[in-house]
Amino acid sequence: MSDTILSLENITKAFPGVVALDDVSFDLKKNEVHVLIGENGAGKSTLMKVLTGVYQPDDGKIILHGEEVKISNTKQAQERGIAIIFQEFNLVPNLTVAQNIFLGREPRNKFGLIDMRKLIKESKRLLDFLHSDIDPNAKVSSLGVAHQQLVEVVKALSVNAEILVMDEPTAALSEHEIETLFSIIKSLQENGVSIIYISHRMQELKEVGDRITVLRDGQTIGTRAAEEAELDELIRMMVGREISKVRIREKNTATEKVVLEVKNVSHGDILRNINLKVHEGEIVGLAGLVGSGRTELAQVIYGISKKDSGEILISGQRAGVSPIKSIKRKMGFLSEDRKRYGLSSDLPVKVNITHASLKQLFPSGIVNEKKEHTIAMDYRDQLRIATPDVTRNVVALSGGNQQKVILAKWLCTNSRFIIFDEPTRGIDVGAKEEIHNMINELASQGVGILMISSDLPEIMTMSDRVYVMRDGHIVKELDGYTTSQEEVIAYAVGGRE
Amino acid sequence: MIEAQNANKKTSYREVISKLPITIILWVVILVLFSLLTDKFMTVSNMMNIIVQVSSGVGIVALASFLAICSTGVDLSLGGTVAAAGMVAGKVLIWDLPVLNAIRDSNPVLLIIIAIVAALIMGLIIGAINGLILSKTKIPAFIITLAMMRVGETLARVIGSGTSIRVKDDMFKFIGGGSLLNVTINERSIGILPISMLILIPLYIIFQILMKHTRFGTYIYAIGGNNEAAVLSGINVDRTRFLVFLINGFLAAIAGVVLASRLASSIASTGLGMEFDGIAAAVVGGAALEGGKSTPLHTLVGAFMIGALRNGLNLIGMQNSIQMITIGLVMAAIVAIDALRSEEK
Repeated sequence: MSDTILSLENITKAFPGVVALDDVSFDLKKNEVHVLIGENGAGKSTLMKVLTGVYQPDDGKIILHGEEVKISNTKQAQERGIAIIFQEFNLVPNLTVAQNIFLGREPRNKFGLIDMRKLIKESKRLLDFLHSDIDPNAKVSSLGVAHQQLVEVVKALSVNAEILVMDEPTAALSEHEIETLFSIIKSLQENGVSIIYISHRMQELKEVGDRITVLRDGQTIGTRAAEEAELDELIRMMVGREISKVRIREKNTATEKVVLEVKNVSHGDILRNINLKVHEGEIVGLAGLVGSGRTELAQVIYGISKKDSGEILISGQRAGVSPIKSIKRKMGFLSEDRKRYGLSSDLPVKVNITHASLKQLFPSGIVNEKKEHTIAMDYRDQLRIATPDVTRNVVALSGGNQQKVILAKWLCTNSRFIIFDEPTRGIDVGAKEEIHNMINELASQGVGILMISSDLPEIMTMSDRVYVMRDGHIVKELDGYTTSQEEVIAYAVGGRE
Repeated sequence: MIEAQNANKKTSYREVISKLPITIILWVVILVLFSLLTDKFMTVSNMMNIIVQVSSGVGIVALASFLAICSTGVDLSLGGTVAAAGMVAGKVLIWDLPVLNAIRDSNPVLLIIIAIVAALIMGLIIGAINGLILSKTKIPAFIITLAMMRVGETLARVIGSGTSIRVKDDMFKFIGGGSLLNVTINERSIGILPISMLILIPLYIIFQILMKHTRFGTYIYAIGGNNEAAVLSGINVDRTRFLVFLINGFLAAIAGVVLASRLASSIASTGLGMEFDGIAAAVVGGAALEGGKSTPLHTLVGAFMIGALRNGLNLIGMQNSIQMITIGLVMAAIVAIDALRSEEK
């Protein structure tokens, strides 16, 4: 076992009320990509935080290069060659790419000032290594998500990391960008970097990983060589039940009635002459690469961003002016960025549920807490939101349950048309299935649904119709029942016109 | 053809306007407006007056406000610190203690140095208390510094035994009121190299370099931009924020000394509201309350704008309370216009 560079032995970590890690062991060999999977709350992130010094374990050992070490903060972890790229990007938007890469470790000249030339040169060298043409002087706020992630990778590399932890690196990336990331991972591996790779996306595990370890409820369930691992088995290990790969949505419940109509809508260079329709009871998938304009289209429809030209009708009435108007037209919007746009995290579940419908529920202006509580409890039961009590703050809930709270908010307003932007991003397999069933159920009740997703299987198994976007255009409309993943990707990347 | 050209010209002219920082535009508006309203405004002596007023008050405090705001804090204690430090300096100069009396007789310069050092220590103590509480607890800077504002002001009253202290030492008065070079215009001698300006400008140059070219400055921007990221990048955020408030105490103490010297007296109420002028200057200069924005030089422009505005309003005889309203409205307008303009972009 001389090629094992890191092993975590019998790590235990408890927080008030929960044992997050219960006697977990994990090891990493030189040059390997070791995938760590598990449902939300399984303990993956906690384990990585123990490794990078954010948390101290209650019990257990970290053995690095055969020696037991103690890591008390991220800086010490960096000094030992361990770097982590967190799921939420941790860049400073108002600083440049180069400043971000060397943040906390700026090279200095003999006067004690930051050596700007060296800073830029070193950044450029690292960016070149990943074949990236990002300008090291650009402000991070001006970069897209994929480029920001690349900066994160470069930042991690700049500490000469031997061990790189990537937490859900593909969550924000589109298919094309994922391929780029995988090739980067390959070249990192060839250069002697070992990678711990955390993911929810089952289909990418075998492509990128050498070994796969499954965590569940703070315990190690097992480790498999990627070549021999069966996806079905891994999923069983994660959730303890089978999940079908077949179409979730079997019957098209679309009616003739149009609930959303977008006519010739343009918005700067981002959206160009968009036309689309969603019928009542229909699930329309919106596929495309990140940056193709999908989220921007959703924001224009909801009225957060102003369109330059064109018309948006919800149930035949003018919309796309402001969120207030959209809600009046019985539209709901589940943003891809739940924490930022969907929830007031520090407020109770019940308040979040009634947030958008206070006026209908309490026309007098005085909130009847008893009624609010009853309504919230109803939605909790209906959507199976896992919280003992709706007075609990949303921040205490898992991603999947937070998403259900947002959905409850829009059900509470009696939405007849809902946009789901990345409905299951960062959500574990079990909750994902539940949310898919809910979307399906809503459609069968006559709600029109526009579903934006970078998760192709989600598009393929859920949509009645699929629009594919590229560079601000809708390039193709496909039948959700007859199309294939290959066809959708081909249009999304421009392989087909 | 000509029409088309005209249209072109118009857009390019508008583009130039839209690219100018709002502070510069307002700056010009203020200068023109007050020049029209009173002929006392656009004179060499009044311009120097503005420079001295800014240098011995809002100019230095604005720098401290900027540092606090940039690192997502706000420092309301600056005015109180100015008062307390100024009072300490005045007290040392007149204190009837045998030791001090002996120094006063034998070596007056040493006494001034002791007075200044004592004032600076006062500032550092207040800054250190702010910084310590802030870095050790989760209490927002707003609350801590609000408390310390009162502490500083009351301390000044206690040290001054409830009255102001008149300072008669000419050498001390030279710091805030003196000039290295004087010219005579219309039979009046005007200082065109005021000492206070010679203190202010190097301070700004030092901090401009500090913010742009040192780790400390980068960390301040990083904390303001994304605190979480700063922590995870191994930046000692607590230490940085502590230092910011320590420096702020020091800067406010400098302002206190210069101000006491210019006014030839230490007055407990001098600092009153100065923190708000400082915040106004920093915000007008482009600092955003969410942190991480603007530079010392932008802040200096903001400070001079507030200074010119106050001076002009004084010259046209506006009451102090109405002045506060005007400055408040101007600040609100600038921030609103700036926000609208950046939205357009």
